[in-house]
Amino acid sequence: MSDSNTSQDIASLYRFLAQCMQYPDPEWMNDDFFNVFYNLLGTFGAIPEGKEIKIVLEQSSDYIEELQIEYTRLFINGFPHVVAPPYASVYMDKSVQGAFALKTLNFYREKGFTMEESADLPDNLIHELEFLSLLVEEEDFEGEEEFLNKLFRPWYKCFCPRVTEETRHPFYRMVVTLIDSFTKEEEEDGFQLNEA
Amino acid sequence: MQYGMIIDLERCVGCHACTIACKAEWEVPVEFGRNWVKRLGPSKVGKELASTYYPGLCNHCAKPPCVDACPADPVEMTFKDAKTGKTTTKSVAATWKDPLNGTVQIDKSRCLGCGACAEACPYGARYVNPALIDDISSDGKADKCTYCMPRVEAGLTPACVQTCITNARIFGDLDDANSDVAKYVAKGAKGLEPKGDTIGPNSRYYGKKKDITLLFQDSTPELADLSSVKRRAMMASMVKPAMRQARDLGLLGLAGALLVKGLTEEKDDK
Repeated sequence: MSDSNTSQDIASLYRFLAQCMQYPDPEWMNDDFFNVFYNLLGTFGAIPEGKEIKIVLEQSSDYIEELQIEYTRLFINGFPHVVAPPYASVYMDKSVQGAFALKTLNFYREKGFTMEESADLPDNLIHELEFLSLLVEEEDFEGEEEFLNKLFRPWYKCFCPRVTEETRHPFYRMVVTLIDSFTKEEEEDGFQLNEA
Repeated sequence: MQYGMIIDLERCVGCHACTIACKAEWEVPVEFGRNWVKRLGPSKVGKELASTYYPGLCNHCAKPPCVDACPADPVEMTFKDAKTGKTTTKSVAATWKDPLNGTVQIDKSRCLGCGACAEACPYGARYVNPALIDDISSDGKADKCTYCMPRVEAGLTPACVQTCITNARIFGDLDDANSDVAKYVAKGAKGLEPKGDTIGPNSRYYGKKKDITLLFQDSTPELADLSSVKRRAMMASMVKPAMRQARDLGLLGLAGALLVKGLTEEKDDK
């Protein structure tokens, strides 16, 4: 039943995942945040991965800084080059702000949304997740499916392995895997992270 | 063994006694129904005029799509045959097809209230009763016809069968060739299969050819798009605890302060 409670939970999930992809800041990346994060992993049977992340964070003298460094290397600027820019056009057009970004912006507009001036490019991963959250809040499930199939999955499936293969921090490996699991088409056995 | 029900449209007079008996027996909320009687026609079927009823209920299907849709964690359940004492163990979610008597049942204590089964049922035979809430589900619990198994196990017939004033409902074991229900099947009683698939409904209809034609023309259901139903239900039920925690902690409000500015409603400007 697509009742409002169900929709609210899914909308919250998209928003939470968007939050995870923000530049790490102690303002939001605190104990409460990690409690919810571990709880979410627990419901997906990813408890070992959660424990691994916890150990890495606890061993760090400044885990926020460590995550900021990794975030920068992965998504903003790294040497010799950035690992995985979180923009659709990079994967679909081989350029920044290409035709695919425009298609994405047009989709937002069709659904009655627009970008604020302070926003990043329309095909930024965070904005796309926010947009999915807004669609689900409005219970526009057809819009959600269409956006996922046409504008999100085609690039995300290229982006995700770049992060999982290259990252040096288990937190980002888990975050991009969670997003992957939540957005991909239902497959034979559902979308369990772990078979166990 | 496969319990089944025959509805003899030659006898049904559309009095709704069955729907009322069912509601009374199982305290079904007013807005829902475990069984229903719809009036069909008068309509032209071929060169004749047909008019009949569609008394519907759970079909306790051979391949129930509702069972596959349940996202609850499976548990091992042991089923025992009351007569022979034979036991069978099977891994089941919160709803399952009983391997011994063929009925489809729900364990409300484990039901997550997600409603995926109700969306998956092509007949609309399931509902989520919002009055039934507990620690697991604040949205209610899935519910439906059980073929009155608690009554049947006590040696009674289902409430709708007992109350039917014309004996239009006949209940029994379809696997027993000597049962009344099996004899009706041999005479041509048919289940309402959904378009494009065969799921083996075990509530079956018998009647004049034109009435059966009208029933099948009018009431053949379509299968739900299970992939999206299942995906959504799984997501919702699995993330529910974490997301409620996130909201309780004000985490998503915080996220909003950081994130929401990216996209704003244009509608207000127009």
